[in-house]
Amino acid sequence: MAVLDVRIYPDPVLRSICATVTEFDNRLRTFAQNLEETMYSFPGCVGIAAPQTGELIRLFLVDVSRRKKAKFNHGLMALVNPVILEKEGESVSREGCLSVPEFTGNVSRATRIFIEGQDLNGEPIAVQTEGFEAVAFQHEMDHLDGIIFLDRVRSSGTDIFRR
Amino acid sequence: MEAKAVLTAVGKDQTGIVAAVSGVLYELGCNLEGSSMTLLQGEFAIILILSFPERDVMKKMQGRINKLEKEWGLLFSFREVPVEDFESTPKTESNPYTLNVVGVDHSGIVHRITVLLADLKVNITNVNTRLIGEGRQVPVYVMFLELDVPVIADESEIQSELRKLADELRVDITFAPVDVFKG
Repeated sequence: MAVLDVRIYPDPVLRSICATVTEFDNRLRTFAQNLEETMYSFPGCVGIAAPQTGELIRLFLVDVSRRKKAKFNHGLMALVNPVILEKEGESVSREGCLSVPEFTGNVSRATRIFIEGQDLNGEPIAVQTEGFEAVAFQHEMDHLDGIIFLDRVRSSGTDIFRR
Repeated sequence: MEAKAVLTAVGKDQTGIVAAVSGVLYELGCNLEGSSMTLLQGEFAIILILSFPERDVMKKMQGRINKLEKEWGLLFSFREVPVEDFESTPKTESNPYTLNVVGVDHSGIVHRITVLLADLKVNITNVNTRLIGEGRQVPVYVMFLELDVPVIADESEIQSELRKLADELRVDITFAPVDVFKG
């Protein structure tokens, strides 16, 4: 296993559309292990997407299990070729990103999502989740389409006031 | 030698203020390192951190500011900040929190709450307050604060102190950590 280099914005790989994974081989699983080690090497990090390490494939990891306050928690999940099929609700939370260091911003996301994809062996999986974990899935999902959270930042709470 | 400064401006809002102020900075080759600008009722307020490639350029600022003051009716302040201040600001380790207050309006809400926070060594990083439902019989006061709470602070003590004060002021106070997603 190895900790991979994390690409920092404005690295163009972060703006690329990632390719669908077709080969569920050992190479893919080894890469996912390295991605996992990379994610855990950053304290407090709860998700990482393949393109953040320069690998332009539709794969990301999420693990919110070490966040006490995350009510919905499926532990460590690797999702390949994910598709969000349902979104419900809207809430704003503070996000940061390994690829955009030293900045956090308020982002609006769906509160409940239903997501389908494949595991590292190509078997179909489906996840229904809410809250913090749902935010994690949506943030990582964006990376696969070249979107970073800065694209979705809203200015602070003042927005909700009529001026 | 690079030099830095803080510039503030406040004035009656009109379209084009930001373009005019930033235009002057651009002409001088000055960089806008950070900014916060907001419209509050009819007043527009600007705070900027500026960096100048050469300290000499700063001398040209006062003349430009005077012109902007006349043309746009803004009130400016301009002050050099030693570059070292940015590099060596000792940061107490802290976590971000939000504090929301909602209640029937009466005087002293902001003061009492912020005095308590200062006593507890909690630093305020952002404040927004509004009166909502004006014209109705009972105007409601809302305040949103963003806070830096030192890591060493006792969260439950802050909670219980705030609860006591909320009862006394007859307002609802919600104090919660900002759960920052990192991925």
